[in-house]
Amino acid sequence: MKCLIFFAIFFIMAGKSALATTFTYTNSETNNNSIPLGYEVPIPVNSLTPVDGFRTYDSLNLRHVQLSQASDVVSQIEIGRTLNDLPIYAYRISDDDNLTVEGALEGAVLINGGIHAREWQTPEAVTGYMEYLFDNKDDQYIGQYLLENLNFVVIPVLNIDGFLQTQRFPNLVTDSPETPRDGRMRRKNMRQVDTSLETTTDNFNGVDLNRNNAPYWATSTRSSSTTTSIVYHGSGAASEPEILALQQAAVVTGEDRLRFYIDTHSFSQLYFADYTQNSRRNRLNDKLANIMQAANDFKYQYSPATAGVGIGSTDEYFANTYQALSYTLEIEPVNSNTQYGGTGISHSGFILPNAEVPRMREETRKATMAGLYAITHPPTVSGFSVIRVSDQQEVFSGQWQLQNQQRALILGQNSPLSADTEYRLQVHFNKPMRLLENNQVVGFSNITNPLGIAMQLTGIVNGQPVVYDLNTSQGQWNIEQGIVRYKTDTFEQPLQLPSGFQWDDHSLLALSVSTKDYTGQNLDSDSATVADWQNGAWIHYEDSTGNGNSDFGGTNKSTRLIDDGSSLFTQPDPVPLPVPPSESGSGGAIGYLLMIMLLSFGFRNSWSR
Amino acid sequence: MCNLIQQSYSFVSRYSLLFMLISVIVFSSQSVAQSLSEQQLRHKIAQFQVLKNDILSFRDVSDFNDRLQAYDDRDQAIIIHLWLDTLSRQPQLNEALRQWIETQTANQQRVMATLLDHPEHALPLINIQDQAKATLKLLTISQLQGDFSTLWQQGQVVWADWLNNKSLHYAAFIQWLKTQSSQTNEQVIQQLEGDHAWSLLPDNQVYFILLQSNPSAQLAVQLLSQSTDEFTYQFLHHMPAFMDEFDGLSALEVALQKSELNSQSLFVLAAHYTNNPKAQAMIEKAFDSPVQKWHALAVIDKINDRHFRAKLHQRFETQQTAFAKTAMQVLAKGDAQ
Repeated sequence: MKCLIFFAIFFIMAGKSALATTFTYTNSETNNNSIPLGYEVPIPVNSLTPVDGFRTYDSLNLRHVQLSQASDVVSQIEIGRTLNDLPIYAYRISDDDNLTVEGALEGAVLINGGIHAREWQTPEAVTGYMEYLFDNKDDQYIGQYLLENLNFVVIPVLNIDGFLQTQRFPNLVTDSPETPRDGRMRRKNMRQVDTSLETTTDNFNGVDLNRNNAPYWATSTRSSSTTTSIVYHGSGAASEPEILALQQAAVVTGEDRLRFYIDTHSFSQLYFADYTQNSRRNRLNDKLANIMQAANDFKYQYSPATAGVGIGSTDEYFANTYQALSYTLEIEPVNSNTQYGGTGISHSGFILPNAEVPRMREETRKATMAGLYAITHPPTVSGFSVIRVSDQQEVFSGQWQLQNQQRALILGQNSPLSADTEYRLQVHFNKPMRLLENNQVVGFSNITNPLGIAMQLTGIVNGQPVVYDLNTSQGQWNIEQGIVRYKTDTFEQPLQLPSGFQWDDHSLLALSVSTKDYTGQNLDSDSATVADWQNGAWIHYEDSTGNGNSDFGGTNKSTRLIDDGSSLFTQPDPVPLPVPPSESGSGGAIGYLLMIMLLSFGFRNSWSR
Repeated sequence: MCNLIQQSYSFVSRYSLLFMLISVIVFSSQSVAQSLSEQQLRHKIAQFQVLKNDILSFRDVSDFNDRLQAYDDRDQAIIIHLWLDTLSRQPQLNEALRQWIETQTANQQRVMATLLDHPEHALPLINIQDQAKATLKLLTISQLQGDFSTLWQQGQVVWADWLNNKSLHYAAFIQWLKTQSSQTNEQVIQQLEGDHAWSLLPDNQVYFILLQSNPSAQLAVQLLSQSTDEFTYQFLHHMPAFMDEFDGLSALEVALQKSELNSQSLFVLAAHYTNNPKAQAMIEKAFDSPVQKWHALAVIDKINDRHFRAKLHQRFETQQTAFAKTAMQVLAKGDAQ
């Protein structure tokens, strides 16, 4: 009995000696054990809809459920359970088939949020992606395009146990202001951790889920085998149920279709990435990063890491396992909260001021949507239509349609075109092609300008090549009227063929189009083949020479009004195409000059017939 | 003691310019980043804790320099960090110490750590320049708080001087307001009213603070009629803790009219007030709105009033819509809890 009492006293004493020092984040109050931030400490609130600040896990979770209940484009999938046996959900945000609008297999994208508990920016950011797509499911624009053509899966919060722990103590932290670890500053999961801040015996425990992954698990000095280390990598690769859930998410997303992965973190305001031995993939990784950076005028940096080494992070897993384009997005700020007028105390970058949250959500949304948009399809010409102005009749049209893994140009109306008749030409694309702001076409950072398109009719007359340049400066990207499916999927302009143009003299007449989608991707040069993703790069994404493995695209001349059956890429080019209007406007004027020169030097006959 | 402070003050007054100049040159020429691991930093900080309060006894520049001389640049930065932290917590500082902090605003010493959790990116764990600026800011707020207190007691507050957004004056007023009794805050309300100063408020924080100490439906409605900001959300979040049911429901009735507050209001209603028929009516009404019904649906499992739950059961079980089926599922989930 005495012995028992002795042990009881011993344990009570030991418990007391192990009491952790708890610090309180404050605005500007400077009491003992306070850590002033320089603004009000964000306290999460219960709201389904976005607030100026952070939402509780409960309400975020209910929001996700509500999005899935209120629409048929969001569906909930349980991908696993946390250490504390809470269900981990992924949400598929896509239409209910795995096919694009034209019937090809959709690509797949997975975005993960909330892997590190204290990084509150991330569940808000990724929930923002879901909310944007939910709100814009019928926008006839980017939202609808992504939902119809991409299989997009989001895990809003992976480390739910840890996230709940941080929200239990939104302004409390242990165990020093300079190196805070538990409470609001918990990073790891809750392995061998209780929810109390009262003791120090366990509050350093937990596994860093972003060090728990193959192929570089436990290969780096930047992860640790010490259980109390902030980067403890666990007992083995994927030892943690949360990581198994993430891997399961890849399975439900569609492993064979996975092409793009983001693990969302904060803070440093940059995209980390991992090179693999696949140089094409690495180039595309750089290119997609550039697109996402451009969405916010490059306020985010990009930092790719050498192939063959790693720290056990999830982006390495997805880069190496699937050759997916793979990133760790570190949301703002760069260094600390001084970016928002805060005190700059160590680790303050994890505590974004409430008032900055809506802007952060908007900026991350813009960047990620640009990335999703770019990776869904390369742009290509999907059809055309010629309308006679006098009676508004469609006189010639064609639509590329998928038939057995290939597309064929199916002509609708095909009345011969004649000289001196006013037409309007509509060229259709497989995606929205321009960025809209307030329903006006705008440029995208330094990547694309609002017009940015050059077109010609090229043909053969009596064995001789001819070119009819089209002045695109008189055209426009359609927004409301004259679209096929999405705003800006159609470019429309006047068309008048020159005097002497004789339809029947042509053995070949093709539409030549040179433009980029809003993220700067060139057209797939051959609409007959369906671009797809394989082993970290595009296939059937032809450049102007017909090379389908360059990932670069080029000028599309595959839409033929009169087809002589000749090979698309062996035709001699009579004249180099006018440089597309690049970033400064239409190339129409240059084209016309060339046309006049050609006319003077030997094409008079073909023009005068 | 007073003599000592006066002596140090006169010393600094005489030599402050020279002192600042030397310090700027010295600190600017020092290496900017001193890297170490997080673990090393923890040890260093523990080691130097004993020096933390020494700063309070320093009287002239030689004291600072003598103490620092024994350490290398990195350790100096850690000690200065601890000193600044100590000074930021003082209610008042003598001029010598304030001048010393001023000099640190030009000190570019940083202790960088290639943190294991940010392996590709070294982060400043200690940034003397930023910390010195923040310390001055905190001290100024503290001092202005005292100034406000004096003006308040003398009845000489000019509201326009204190309500500029982002100003230290506003921060000081807010800090002062948080520490006042309900009685004083009632006087603040009266004075803001009498001086027609409500319209000068740059955000809703004053309302939020006043409502916590002096809850009233009238003031809550006044807050809710302003543009929604972070403090509006915080008010609704904390409201059940300080407002009585009648006033709370009146406020929620107004909040429900604002689309951005709709979901949060329904959360509060469902979690705190569903034993009240008025709250039940508000929730039921939300089910009639195409948008609000989804917000209401999300929170009905939080309703703990049995009769109301039964009523909702009755409402939805007779309907054949997908929405009603989902509502039944959510209610069932709540029943199981």
